[in-house]
Amino acid sequence: MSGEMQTVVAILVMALVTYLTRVGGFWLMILVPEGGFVRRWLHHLPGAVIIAIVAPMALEGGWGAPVAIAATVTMAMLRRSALIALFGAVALVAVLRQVI
Amino acid sequence: MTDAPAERSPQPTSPMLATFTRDGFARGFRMATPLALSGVLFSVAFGVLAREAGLPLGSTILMSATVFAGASQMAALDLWSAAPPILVLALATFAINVRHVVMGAALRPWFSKLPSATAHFSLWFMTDANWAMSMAEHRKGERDAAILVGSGVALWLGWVSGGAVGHLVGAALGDPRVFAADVVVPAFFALMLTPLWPGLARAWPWAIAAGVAVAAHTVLPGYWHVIVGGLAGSLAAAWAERRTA
Repeated sequence: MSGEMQTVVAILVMALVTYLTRVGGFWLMILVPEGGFVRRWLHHLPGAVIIAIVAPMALEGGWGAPVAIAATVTMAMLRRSALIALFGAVALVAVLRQVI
Repeated sequence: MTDAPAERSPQPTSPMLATFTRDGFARGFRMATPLALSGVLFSVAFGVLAREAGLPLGSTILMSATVFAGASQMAALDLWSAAPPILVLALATFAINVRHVVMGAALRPWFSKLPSATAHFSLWFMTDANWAMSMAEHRKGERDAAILVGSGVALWLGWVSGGAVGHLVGAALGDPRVFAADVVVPAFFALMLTPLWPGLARAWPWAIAAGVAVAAHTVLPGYWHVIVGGLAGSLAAAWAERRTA
């Protein structure tokens, strides 16, 4: 296999593996009975997964991330649009970094 | 009825309809556009690094367009060579992207109402950000599954074009921290959490998820902490409701 060919094959294998992870959970749930426990578990899954993504991020790389998170959530609770909340928070951190 | 969870939030099975419309696609595309634009800095960085790793422009675009999973692509660059090790790449890619399995499971009650081909096409565009966005919108009453595809396409366009630009332009783009681009991603995910907030009395599973994820992050490679933390928090919540129901 030439190097060029192997590069393309490697990329397509990565793509296939990634697609299998994307549909894998969807398929696996066919095997799981949709009873009360599973329904409650799936109901709680998004919040738990997102917090598991965010928490380590918030603790990495200084005060920027926690400040941005606090500002975004505060503005979202004040019923600002999601767009304003997100960009407001990012702008705040950018300004604070210049000042401090 | 021992099945009904005692809580105020909409039931997970309440009108479990699923539609798939052009409107939903447009809504998703619009909502994800700010993130796609800010994410360009990350995708440009990927393009720069891909070039340094010796990946030609065409392969860089092919990888971004078909794999469409940033962290695993970054990791692949570390393993790249003139003759890339296919098995090692496959395993590394799986280890980093296996978190998608949990996300796909959460989409099942909603997306199983779609024709199978539509569901499988839609899942191709599922990545952390638009999955989180779609779940948040679903909790607010959204039933149009095309929102996942619309937001996914917006992110995909930014990811592929940013990678190509980075590869062409090369380094010398400055430090993205000046624009605070590095805090966009955590702020975005925090924003997606707000409609999912279960109330203070029911927030303890989130504390479990956060604590377990932080602890796991220090010892586990890749994104396993997302799976471990997410499962710990959600299973604890479901288990607690089983006892009180």
